[in-house]
Amino acid sequence: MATWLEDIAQYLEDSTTSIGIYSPTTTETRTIYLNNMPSTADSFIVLYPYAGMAPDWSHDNDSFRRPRLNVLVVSTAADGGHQKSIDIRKRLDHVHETALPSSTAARHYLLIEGLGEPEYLGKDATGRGQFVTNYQIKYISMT
Amino acid sequence: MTASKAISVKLEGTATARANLRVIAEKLPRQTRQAMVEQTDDVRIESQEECPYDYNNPHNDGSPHLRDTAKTGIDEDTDEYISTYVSYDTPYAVYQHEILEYNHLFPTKAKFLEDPANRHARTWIPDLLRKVQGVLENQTFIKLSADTEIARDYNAWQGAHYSALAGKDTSLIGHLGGRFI
Repeated sequence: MATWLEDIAQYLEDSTTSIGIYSPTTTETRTIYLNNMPSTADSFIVLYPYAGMAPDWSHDNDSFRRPRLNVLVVSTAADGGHQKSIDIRKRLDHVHETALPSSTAARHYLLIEGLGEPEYLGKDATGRGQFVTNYQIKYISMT
Repeated sequence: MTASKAISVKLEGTATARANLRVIAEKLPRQTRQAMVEQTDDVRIESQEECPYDYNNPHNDGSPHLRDTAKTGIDEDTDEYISTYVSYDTPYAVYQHEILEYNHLFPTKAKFLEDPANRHARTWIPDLLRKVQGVLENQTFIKLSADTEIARDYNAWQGAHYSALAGKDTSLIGHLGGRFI
């Protein structure tokens, strides 16, 4: 059963600005990962969920979930992944009243908002730049 | 200047409560300020419990452990606005806070400041009002241990300190005497 984290990963892949690949075909290489940093020397994006705030409940038993998302961009690009982080922010920031995934509309996303600008964490051991950005997610389960 | 990281908490859906709180802050500014600081201190204490601790580095150079750099303070204090902060201040604070890939010994973890702040955000205003009430009733000192326990621990430390000094030539101990014996 898919989670909201997978919704976000797929939503990033569906962007027209070529943010990354979450569900690679036989000829593509995956670049968007969930929860685990891959052991590759190339550029990649990792999405980490974290606690956020406690949920709220409505009278008809819907729960408003408010997790948070930490996006780590590790990049061999000259700017260290800054533009990639900005592209991700443009894709996610202020997403509102949107059902994801687009195929099954399992969750209704009330709002996704960035919690700040991409933060540079310096270079990793292989010289790749690292940027991290955090987002507040608000959604209701539709199933 | 070493890097530092501060977390801000944004409260939503509390327009009416904030309006009432503004009235209280206007009429009781000193008490509200103290209650805000005490409440922020609660976040700091929880945060320090979750802050990663480098057991492999005794910091013999005198530099502080990350946990020990936690600080609470007032950021802004005007007629319209009281802003408090919790901050950590080591060059590696932001890495420990933002990189969720690192392994940490339970209960320490990444997001050691943001998560406690988020936990408190939900009940921040009612908790603050209770603390203002506590300040008005002069219950402002938070006792973490009974007086007898505090005296016992202090005496034990003092005894150990003077035992370490016994028989040593103290003439060469400078201003750091007592820390690096």
